Amino acid sequence: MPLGIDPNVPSIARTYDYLLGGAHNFAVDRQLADNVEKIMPRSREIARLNRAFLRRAVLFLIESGIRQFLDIGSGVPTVGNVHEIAQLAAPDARVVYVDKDPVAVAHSELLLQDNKGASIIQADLREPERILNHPETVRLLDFEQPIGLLMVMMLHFVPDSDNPMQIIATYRDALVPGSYLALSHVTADQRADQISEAAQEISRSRSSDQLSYRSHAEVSRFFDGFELVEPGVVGCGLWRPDGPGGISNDPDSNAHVYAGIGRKPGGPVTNE
Amino acid sequence: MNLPPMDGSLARNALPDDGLRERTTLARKWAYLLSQTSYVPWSHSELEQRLVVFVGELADLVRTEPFTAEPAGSVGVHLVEWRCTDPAALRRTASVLGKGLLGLPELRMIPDRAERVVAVLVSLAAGFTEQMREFVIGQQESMSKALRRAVRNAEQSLADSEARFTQVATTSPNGIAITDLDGNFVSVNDALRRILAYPGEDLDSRCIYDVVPPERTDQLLALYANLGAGQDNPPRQMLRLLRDDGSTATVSLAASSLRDEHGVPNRAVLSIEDVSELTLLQDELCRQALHDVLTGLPNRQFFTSRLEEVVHRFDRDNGITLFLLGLDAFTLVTAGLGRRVSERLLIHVAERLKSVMDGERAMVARFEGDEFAILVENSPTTPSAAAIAERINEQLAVPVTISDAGLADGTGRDRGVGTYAVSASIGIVEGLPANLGPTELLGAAETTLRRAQRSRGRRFELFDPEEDARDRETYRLAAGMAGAWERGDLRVAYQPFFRLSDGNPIGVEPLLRWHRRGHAPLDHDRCVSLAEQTGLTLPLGTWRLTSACTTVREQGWGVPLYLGFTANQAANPDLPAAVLRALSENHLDPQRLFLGMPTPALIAGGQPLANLIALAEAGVGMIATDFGAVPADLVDLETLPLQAVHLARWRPRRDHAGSTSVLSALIDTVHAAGVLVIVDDIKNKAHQQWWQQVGADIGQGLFYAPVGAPDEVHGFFNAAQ
Repeated sequence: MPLGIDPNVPSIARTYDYLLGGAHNFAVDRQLADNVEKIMPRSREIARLNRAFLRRAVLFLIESGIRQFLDIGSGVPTVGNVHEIAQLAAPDARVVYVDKDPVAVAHSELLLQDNKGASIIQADLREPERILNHPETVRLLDFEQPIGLLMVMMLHFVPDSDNPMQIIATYRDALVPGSYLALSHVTADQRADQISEAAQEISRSRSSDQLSYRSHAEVSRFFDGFELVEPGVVGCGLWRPDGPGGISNDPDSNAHVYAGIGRKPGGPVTNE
Repeated sequence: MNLPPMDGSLARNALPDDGLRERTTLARKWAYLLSQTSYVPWSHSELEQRLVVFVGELADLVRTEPFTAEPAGSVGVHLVEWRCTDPAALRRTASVLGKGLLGLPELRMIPDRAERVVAVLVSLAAGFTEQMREFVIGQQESMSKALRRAVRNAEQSLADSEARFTQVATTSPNGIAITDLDGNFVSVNDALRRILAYPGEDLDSRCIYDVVPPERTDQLLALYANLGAGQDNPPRQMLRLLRDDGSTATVSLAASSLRDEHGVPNRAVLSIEDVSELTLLQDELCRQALHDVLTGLPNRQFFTSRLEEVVHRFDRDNGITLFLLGLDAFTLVTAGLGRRVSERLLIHVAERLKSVMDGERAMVARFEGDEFAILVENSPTTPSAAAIAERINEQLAVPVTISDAGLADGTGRDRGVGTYAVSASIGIVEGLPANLGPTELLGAAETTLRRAQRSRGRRFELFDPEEDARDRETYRLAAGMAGAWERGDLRVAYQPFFRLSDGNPIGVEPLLRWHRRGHAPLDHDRCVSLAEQTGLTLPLGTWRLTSACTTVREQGWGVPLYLGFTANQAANPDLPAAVLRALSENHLDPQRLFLGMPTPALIAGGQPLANLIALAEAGVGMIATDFGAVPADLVDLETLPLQAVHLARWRPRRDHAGSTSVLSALIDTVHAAGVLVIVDDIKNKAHQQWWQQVGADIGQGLFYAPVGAPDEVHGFFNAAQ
């Protein structure tokens, strides 16, 4: 049984926490982050821009009438967690977090102990049936109502050999019309040199997660069966930026990560 | 300092009190700088509002008698609590406040304000540092709490996971065995009993060495040694196993290690696939001639059968990658340098490719002519496909000298002797796209290669099924474009521009339209993108300009002409001359013409920028198109001789309040530089009103007038006169 809590093996969730200025991480995680930063000097900025996209995405979904969220690959709780953003805007919002990293899960459990509207389950994105039928999911989310499915900085850790299209289709089929999929995904369409080198750095580390960056067309395909809302799949800094914290002066930084939101067609329209 | 687009609402609602305005300005700079170092979970204006309060508190501290700096520490504490923990956050805070507080008019009368500001900042920094320590300790404490909890959770789920494993093992068609590190079977599944023809429980009491031929024992010992040393996924290996009935089974064996609670490997999981039939087939194939005579590499037949075999058994964790390479312009080499030199170069390429793939499980093959293929069974250490592609071209770019030795072909001794470097376009199919068999895989690699060969400046391309289908349609269209132009099916249509404030037509844009029998006409954007692919882009650009100038003259339209160029057209060094020629031939004043160039091309500088300046000096009005996609746009407004900017197609939806304020701030900034704002795609009254409200000046779209032939739009310009 791989416990996944070996402090000598870096974890992507904790590395991301470190890049966002958190201290929920070990020396190996910081080492990996530092090595990646040497290759991509703007790594911190990219993490920040993605976090800012997550906030705008949650607020957009709230505006669109979504009150239930399934956040897969939620990572180590840090600043601006989905339930905090959502419940501030809509106190009745409910959130089920999913992560496979046992330490991230334990962290989240501690954080969410007193929150009636949010919960965390330990599972892998690649087990949709397990996630969708998990008692906590069933307890908090009403699958007769639209749901906001979040896969932020997630699918690039699912190689094509795991058939991510099929996995997303399973989730999509479980959602009623009017539900949304929001995702962000690393690409090498810009600065292929940096990204492929960073991917190799991650692959040299002992992390079990490897980076499968994808092209614009490939990321767009994840939205099969959803209707993309404007402006479509774009660099995450360019997805409806709402202030200088969410967009960079450096076009590459805006474009290392693609972001998009799609709506499952049909059902009542709340935001048009 | 590169200030962000200001929030227009704040600027407009500034309070009359000077002191408050100065504080707001300072808070705004501070907010911008903080937002570039740390993520804060609020809107930017909320951050600004919070910082205005802090600036006020700090200014009050400096002003108040008796002076004390200590309360400033709480600002530092708050910064950490907001997670502005990046060292740059403190550095930038100190720097912006140091200058900013000293500059506040309300503090000018205080004689020792410099000392006081320093004291306040020191106190702020001390508060920050102290809180930072608390923050790290607190987080590390919750970290260890979380760790303890994770271990407890893991122990609980161990029982569940054992049950799950049993289920996987029973249903798998592959043989699965768990052994200890000495090779003793701990558990085996029915599939393995079947493969080894052991009935009942007989196998359970044996060890792996009982079923391995003696000469392969060492191979297995080495495998177990690696697993014990912590290697998690050693490469798959082919092996013959002894069956209970004395025959052998050829298997492909993958092993991985299990670890105990301390992370030390203590078990091995073996996954064993029966490939006996495949092996027989392979032996058969090997007897045939399967190699290319020239290079000694496997040929297409060999490669295809290997591909077929690998597709059925590859390592799902790491996948396979298929590369198809075509040497660039190699027919020219053959024609220009002769067959013998090109053959020497092909041998050289084969050697280089083999050296790049050295150490990988890979087959390098030569197909016909200048085409090579590589099939890689990836291991965890295999570089990415993109990296391999780059390495291939790096290797090929190293020049090679072809001497005349062995080149005597009787036609003159020197022909072709010299030093050469070649490059390859590469089509890549990565992983295994769902449902693709070997033939489809090769077909996919071929179209991907064609795409790579077509796109200049990108020498490799990854397979994308959707693009594949689109490509075929695009090929067909692009191939017919020149003919359509000649036949007159490609025409210039016109769409007027209007002033938003009074709805008067004030310009006209010539747009390409491709009329096709039995189909809807292709619109301008599609024509332009096809032209970019066929090399027609420069002549078509000039033709559009010249036709439009002629039409304007013949029709006697009194409004200016507006033409947007693509990045390639904008970079044409002959552009200014062509433009001026078109104008003078039609006796048009340069001021009647407005030309657009893409903002990214302008920011990059070089030829487009030089053209822009030359044309502006000649009196042509210049417009930056695709404007507003990146904030760096703002930098150039002041320096470039621009009349207007044309906003990028994407714009926020009307009901999206957050983006509206950014957009009107952007437009305000553009206006402040004395530049007009053009928008397009105005579909209805609501669009028009919304754009007018955010401050756009000029617009175009179905709401005003559709694209039409000269006769169809003529009426607009008559009415205007």
